[in-house]
Amino acid sequence: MVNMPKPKKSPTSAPVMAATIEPKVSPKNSTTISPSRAPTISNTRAHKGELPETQKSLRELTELYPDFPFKVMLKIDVQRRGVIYTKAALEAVDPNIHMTTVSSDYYDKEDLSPVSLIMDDGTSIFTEGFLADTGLAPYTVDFDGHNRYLCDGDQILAKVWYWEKPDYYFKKTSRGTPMWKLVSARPQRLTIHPYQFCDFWKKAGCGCKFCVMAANFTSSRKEATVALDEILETVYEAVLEPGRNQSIFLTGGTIISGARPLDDELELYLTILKGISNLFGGRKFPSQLISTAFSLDQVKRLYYETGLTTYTADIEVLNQRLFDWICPGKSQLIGYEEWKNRLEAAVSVFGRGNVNTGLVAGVELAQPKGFKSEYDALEATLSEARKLCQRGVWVVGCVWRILTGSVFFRQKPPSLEYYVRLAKGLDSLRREYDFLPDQDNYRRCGNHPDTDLARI
Amino acid sequence: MTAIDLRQYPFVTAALNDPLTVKVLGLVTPTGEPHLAVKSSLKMSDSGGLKYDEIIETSRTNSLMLRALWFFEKVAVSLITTDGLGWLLKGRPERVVISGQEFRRHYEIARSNNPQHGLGAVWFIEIETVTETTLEKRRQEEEESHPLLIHLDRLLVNRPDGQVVKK
Ligand code: SF4
Repeated sequence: MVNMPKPKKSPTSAPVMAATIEPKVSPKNSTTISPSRAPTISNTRAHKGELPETQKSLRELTELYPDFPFKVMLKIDVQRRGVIYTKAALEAVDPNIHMTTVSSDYYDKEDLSPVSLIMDDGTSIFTEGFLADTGLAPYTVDFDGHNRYLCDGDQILAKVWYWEKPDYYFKKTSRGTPMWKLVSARPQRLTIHPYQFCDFWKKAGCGCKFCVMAANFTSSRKEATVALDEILETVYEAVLEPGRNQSIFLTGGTIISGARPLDDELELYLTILKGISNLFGGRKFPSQLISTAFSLDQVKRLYYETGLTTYTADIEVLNQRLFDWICPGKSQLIGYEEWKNRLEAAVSVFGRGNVNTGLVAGVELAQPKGFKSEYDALEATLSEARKLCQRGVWVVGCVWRILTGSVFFRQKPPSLEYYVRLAKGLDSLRREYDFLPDQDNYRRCGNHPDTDLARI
Repeated sequence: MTAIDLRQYPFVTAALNDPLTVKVLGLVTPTGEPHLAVKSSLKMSDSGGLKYDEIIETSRTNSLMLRALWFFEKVAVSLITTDGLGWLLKGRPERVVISGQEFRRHYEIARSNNPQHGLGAVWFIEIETVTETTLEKRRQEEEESHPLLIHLDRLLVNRPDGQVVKK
């Protein structure tokens, strides 16, 4: 399988994407997208990296789950299998319009390939990052001179657009730092990574096994922390753009140190959130923090001293034994049961519906210690998610993208059907327990198939 | 079905351009209930389809439009002009724009029209059929094609004594 290569560091180079292929789609021979019928999907082409026989194809699943939106299913599958851009698709990138650079918590993407995609229904597909070779053939993005298409082999499946760049992106702070390096953007959200490393990686064997923080941070030579004054300048500039942002999001790696564990992490977020709150006259503003699970006292400070409105502490996997194995740092510092207790305590501060937890959905099937059957994994995950809902904490899932540089880089992804059923299950729980999806909806985060389903 | 370019329909174009035209979007819920919404912002798109601004992100209309897009269902738009002309347009949601420069242009117009407003989405609809529903035209059509469908009092000409019936 050809994966997106690690981007080159030269910002001045011409469009760079080593894994380009010649276009298979031309206006003459393409399957046209007709909104008057369901997309034609074929999995008959035997190409290298075809699905294992036990896994149902996208086409089969659209028939099996007719009430599951095709676009959301496609998004999931693209994230499982990855995507490559044809030469034509890369030449259709206009860096003055499209987002090509992005600063994540551990590296800066600086090549001229698109950061990610959006479909005609407003669903985002995250394509950034370096997928490991899982044996599944990637999708292709191609350009026919008018439109960009997502293709599987020679079949066109959907029109796609590249994410557009916000106004502030190429501006510089008063100290000359490009603003995109301080605050990154999604179509409707600003993202800040105040601490761009994670202390769990400082101790051998403590980082989460799906995480690529250590591998990429070391090679990227980023500063571990970013300057507050520059963040505030950038946030101010970014928020000026009409209609662009609906939420400000902060996250970063764990900082264990402090008078009490995690106090230094808390102080970092407090400082930034207080600064941003001032921009909004000290009022609450649409915002989300994903942090390590803070204690009740720490969470109270976040709520009462800043304008933060929603809180997330990602438990990653809903099983004690697997949490201990996959997230050893979190397990040793806080522990599985205490993590859940802290989430529940946060509900008493932020209010019901304003606290959730995220899963790297699928890691529960990592071997050798994970569930052996998808059925068991699904049952266990949804039953544990139900218990969290009963405690006032709702649950969102991301598709586990098996990344180069993670401990799990040799693992195999779960089937597409597993994700379809999990997304349906989490969406059903959210509806049953009457949680609004607003904190993590399709246009703020856009990385959760279950909250994509919440749109109708 | 291929999309119709509404620029070929000057009366429809005029109706869409007239701010006094009543523009109603019709959808059907999953349980078959009708759902109608007046959408004054309905306009012709650059490609000859329709577009409108959805102010309320969580509205039933927005959700039903997405359902129609996801599951390839049809939507309808009824236009009624101040001089009694009417048009029924049927088609399908083609795209919803929630971010980027196109969204921003609509957002700024929506905000300048009403500073209390934000914008949830810009919807694009591809039109597949256009039917004129102007009452006078429909009446003439029925008269020609169904001459037997008329109340007899309208046909009465003479009284039994031979005098002309006054109408
Ligand atoms: S907490 Fe785990 S997933 Fe998060 S940055 Fe640290 S190692 Fe990575």
